[in-house]
Amino acid sequence: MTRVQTADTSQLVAALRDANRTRGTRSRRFAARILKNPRAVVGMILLLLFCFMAVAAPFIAPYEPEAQRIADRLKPPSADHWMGTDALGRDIFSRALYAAQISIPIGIFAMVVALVVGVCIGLLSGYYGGWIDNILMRLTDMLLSFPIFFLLLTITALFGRTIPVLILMLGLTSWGVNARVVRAQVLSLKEKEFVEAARSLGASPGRIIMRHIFPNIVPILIVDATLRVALVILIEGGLSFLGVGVQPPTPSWGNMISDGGALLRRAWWVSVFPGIFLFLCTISFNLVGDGLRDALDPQLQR
Amino acid sequence: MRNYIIRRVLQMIPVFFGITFISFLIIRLAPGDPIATMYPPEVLDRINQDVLREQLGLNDPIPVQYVKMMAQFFNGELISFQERLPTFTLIAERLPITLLFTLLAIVFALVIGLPIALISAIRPYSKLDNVLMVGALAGLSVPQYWLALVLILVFSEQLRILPASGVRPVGAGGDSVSAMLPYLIMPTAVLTLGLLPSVIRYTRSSLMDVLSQDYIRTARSKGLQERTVIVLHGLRNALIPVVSIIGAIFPVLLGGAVLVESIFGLPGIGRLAVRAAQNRDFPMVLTLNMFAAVMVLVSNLVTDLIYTRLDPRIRLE
Repeated sequence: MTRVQTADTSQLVAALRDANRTRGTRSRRFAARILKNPRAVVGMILLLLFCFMAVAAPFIAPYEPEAQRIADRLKPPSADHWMGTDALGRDIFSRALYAAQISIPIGIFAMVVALVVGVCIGLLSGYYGGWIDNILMRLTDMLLSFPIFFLLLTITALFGRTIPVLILMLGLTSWGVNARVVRAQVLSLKEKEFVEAARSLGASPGRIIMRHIFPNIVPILIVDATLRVALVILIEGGLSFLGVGVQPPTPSWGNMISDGGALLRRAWWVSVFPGIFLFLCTISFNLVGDGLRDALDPQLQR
Repeated sequence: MRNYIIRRVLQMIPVFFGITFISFLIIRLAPGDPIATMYPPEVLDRINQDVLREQLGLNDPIPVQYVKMMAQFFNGELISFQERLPTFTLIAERLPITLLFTLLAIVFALVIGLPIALISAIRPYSKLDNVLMVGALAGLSVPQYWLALVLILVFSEQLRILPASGVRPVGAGGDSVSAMLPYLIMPTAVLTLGLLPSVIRYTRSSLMDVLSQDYIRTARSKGLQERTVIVLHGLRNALIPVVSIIGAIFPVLLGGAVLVESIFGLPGIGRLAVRAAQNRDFPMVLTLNMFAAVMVLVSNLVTDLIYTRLDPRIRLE
C-alpha cells in the first residue's frame, strides 16, 4: 500500500518538474515571436529611447530645466532652442527631456502599486472564492464603476500634489481591471491537473498560489502592466494639465502642455512639443504591450 | 423582466451609498478648509469662523455630516457652500451641455468605429488591418487635452473657421441648437477620437472571436452570402461585448468631459467638478459624486437590458 502511494507521488513530482522545465523553452519561443512583430520592435526601440532620455537628461539637455531667462521668453524654435522657449524663457527641449524623468517613473511606480493590489485581490478572490470573493469583487465593481478621473481630480486637488501622493493615488485607483483578470485566470488554473497534483501532495494554499498559480499568470500581468503604464502616464498628464498633478516648476509633459494653453496664438511650440513627447512615450508602451499580447495569444501562432 | 429590473435597482442602493460614503470620507479626510475659499480674507477676519463652521455642520463627526447632507439633498435643501444655491439646481443647469456632447461622441464613435472594426476583422493581419490597428493604437495614445489645443490652433487660430471656446456667440441667448453647433464640433470631435480606438479594438477582437465559431461555419456552408453571414450572424453576436464596453466607457467619458470642458470653456458638469474640488465645496462634490454614481449604475443596468435584445439566449432572471 505504501509503495503504491510513493510511486504515485514520484509521478506527480515528475509531472510538476516537467511543467517547470517547459517554461524555459516557452519564454524563448515567446521572445522570438515578439521580435518578428515590427510594431512591437518599433515600440521597444522607442521605449528604450525614452528610458535613455530619462536617465541621460542631465547630460544631453542643453539647458537647466528650471533656468529662467526672461530676455529669451517665448522664442520660437531655433538653433539655440530646438523647440523654442516658454513664457519664462525656459528651454522646452530640456524641460521635455527632464519631464521623462518625472512622468515615466510615476507611470511605472503607480503601475506597480496597482499590480500589487490587483494581484493580491485577484489571487485571494479567485483561489478562496466564497464570501472573500464576494466582498472583494463588489469592491472591485465599485472601483470600476466609478469615474476614476473625477475621483482622482477631487483627491489630488485635496491631498496635496507631491509625487509620492500622486503615485499612490494613481495606483490605488487603477487596480480594478487587473484584479478581475487575475481572478478569472486563477479560477481556470485552480482546476488544472498540476494544481490538483500539488494539492494532493499536501502543498499549502500559500505554496500553491505562489509556486504553481502565480508563475502562470505572469505573462498576462506583463501585458497588463505595460498597457497600464501608458494609461497612467496619460492620466497623470491630464491631472497635471488641470493643475492638480505634478506641480510647476517641476516639468511634466502635462503641465508643460497646460503652460502653452493660453499662449497658443503667440507661441504654439510651448504646447505642441511636450504633447509630441507625451504621445510618443504613451504609444511606445502601448505598442510593446500590444505586441506582447499578440505574442502570448496561442490562437495567433502563424 | 419587471422583477429583474426591480431587483437590480434594489441591489444598486447599497452600492450607491457605498460609493458616495467612501468618496465623502476621502474628501472630508483631506486637508483644506472650505471657509477659506468662501469669503475674501478681509471678510474672513471679521466674521466668527467657529459660528460659521457650526452653521455649516463642519464640526459634526464625518458620518453624521454625510447623513445630514444626504438627508438635505433628498429634501432638495442641500446648498453649495460656494454658490449658495441648491446643488441640484446647479447640476441641472449644466447637465444638458455635457450630456449633449458626450452622447454625440458615443454615437459618432459607434458610427465610425463599427465599420472600421468590421473591415479589420474580415481580413485580420492584412496590410489594411495593420494600418488601422496602428492608427487605433495611436488614437489611444494621443492626450485628449493636447489634441484639443492642436485643433484650436489649427481651426480657430489659423483657419479661423471654428470658435475656440464658449457655447454660443457673444450676446446670443437662448438654447438655439444651430447657434451652438459650431461651438460643439471640436469638443465632440475630441471626445469621439478618445472613444474611437476602444470601440474599434473591442469590436474587432470580439468579431474575430465570433467569426471563428462553429455557427459561422454552418451559416457559410448553408451557402449564405458572405455579407449576410458577417453582418447578421457575426456582427450581431459580436456587439454584445461591445455594448458592455459602452457601459464601462461612461465613467471614462465623464473624466474626458472634465478636460474637454475646461479647454473649450463649456459650462458643463466637468468644470463644475473642478471648481467644487478646488474650493472644498463639500455639498457640491458629494452631489456630483452621487450624480456620477447614478449615471454609471443606470448605464450598467441599461447595458444588461440591451444584452437581452441582442442575444435572446441571455435571460435575465
